[in-house]
Amino acid sequence: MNNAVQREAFISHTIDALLEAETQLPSDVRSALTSAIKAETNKRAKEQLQAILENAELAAAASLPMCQDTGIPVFFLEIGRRSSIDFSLKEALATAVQRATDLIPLRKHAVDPITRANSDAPLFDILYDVCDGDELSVAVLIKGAGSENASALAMLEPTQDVMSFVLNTIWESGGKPCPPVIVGLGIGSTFDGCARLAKKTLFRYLNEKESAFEVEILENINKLGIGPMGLGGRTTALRVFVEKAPCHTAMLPVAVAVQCWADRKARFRMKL
Amino acid sequence: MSSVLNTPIRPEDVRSFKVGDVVYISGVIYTSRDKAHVKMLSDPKRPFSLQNACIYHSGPLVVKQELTYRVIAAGPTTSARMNRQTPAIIKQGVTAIIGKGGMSAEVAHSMTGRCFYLAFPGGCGILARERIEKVLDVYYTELGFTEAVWKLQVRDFGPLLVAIDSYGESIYETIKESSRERLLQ
Repeated sequence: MNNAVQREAFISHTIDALLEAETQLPSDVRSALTSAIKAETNKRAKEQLQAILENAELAAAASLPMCQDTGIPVFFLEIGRRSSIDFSLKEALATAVQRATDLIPLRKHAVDPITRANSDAPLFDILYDVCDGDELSVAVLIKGAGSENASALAMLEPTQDVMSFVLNTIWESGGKPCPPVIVGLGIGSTFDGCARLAKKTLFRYLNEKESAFEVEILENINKLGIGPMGLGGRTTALRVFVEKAPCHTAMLPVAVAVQCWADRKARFRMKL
Repeated sequence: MSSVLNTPIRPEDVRSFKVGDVVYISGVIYTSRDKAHVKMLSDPKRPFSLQNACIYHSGPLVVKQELTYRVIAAGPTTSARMNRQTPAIIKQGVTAIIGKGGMSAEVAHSMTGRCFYLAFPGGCGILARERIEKVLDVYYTELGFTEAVWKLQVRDFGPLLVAIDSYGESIYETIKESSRERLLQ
């Protein structure tokens, strides 16, 4: 394939992934919500969860975005080290987001952070990794503002408690991030490193095997009783993911990345 | 208790509901979020009245199709961002606020006797769309479609849970307190 053809194919797959993510709630999330309805004893919580599932069904059937906050697409690119990419991935992603905005459609909500003036700039973020093979693997996660605003980072002292920080963060945000949420925890590394670890966990599937630590945090969060939309109940979080990396003996960086129930994600692979 | 309320909603209508009731609204609602709240309060020539009005915290996804507007998705946005401006908005006569995630204790206090807060399930953009009959008007388009005020005609808009009533009761405050106790255990 020549560069232009390769670039067009990449843009087209990216638009398809954005459409899928915005309109089809992934099956792992639907299963988790269905199990949560069965486990809930709180009537109000059950009703909120039922509305969420009904909304997801309607959106899928109409092929329309399930939430008006069509969010910030976060792309996670895993680039095979034997692949050959002769076009700008960043520029191609910007073009895909721009085209998807008109096609799907997506909401225009980018602003200048200082003047707050509306901006036409395509809004997205990219995480990179290099892996074995000759394929380019692309995952997209749609991050809404409500849950992104509930995320937090702390440079704890090594003797401080990670669990307290996580529970406090979830308690503080209450119903604001559209619970039941998915919580991605990055522990260790550096100031920016722990945030990347936390964000990357959100690309994982909810039905992956949990670690004992992940289960412990999830149980503690759900004991708080915040519940769906902060209206009470046992389902405050559907899943906790933890990723760690070594850190300096004088440090304990911790990032909590919160994702709303609308855990919109899709992926594709390309041989390049 | 579950019932349909027609707009305009009067303070005496609001006072017949308590936390935990479910209502549906038919009539006219106005979307308003961050920028529109600031604008509404500073605009001496505000082109619509807030007397007995229903405000919907939402930044809908709307597209313009020739001469009409098409609402694609229109769920609620996080209400707490409007905590600061809301007591002043209520003084202008707003009797019902629809949103998600709740509002502060100070806002709950300012609602006493004349306004209530109704929770619509967050993220449910298509459920909301289904209950919107048409776009009646749009104001402040210079703020952009997301932040503009959309005057919407709705039918049986809901389910809306009375989450803060006009008697100072707030589900969010109750849950914040009980979850704080569990946090400290």
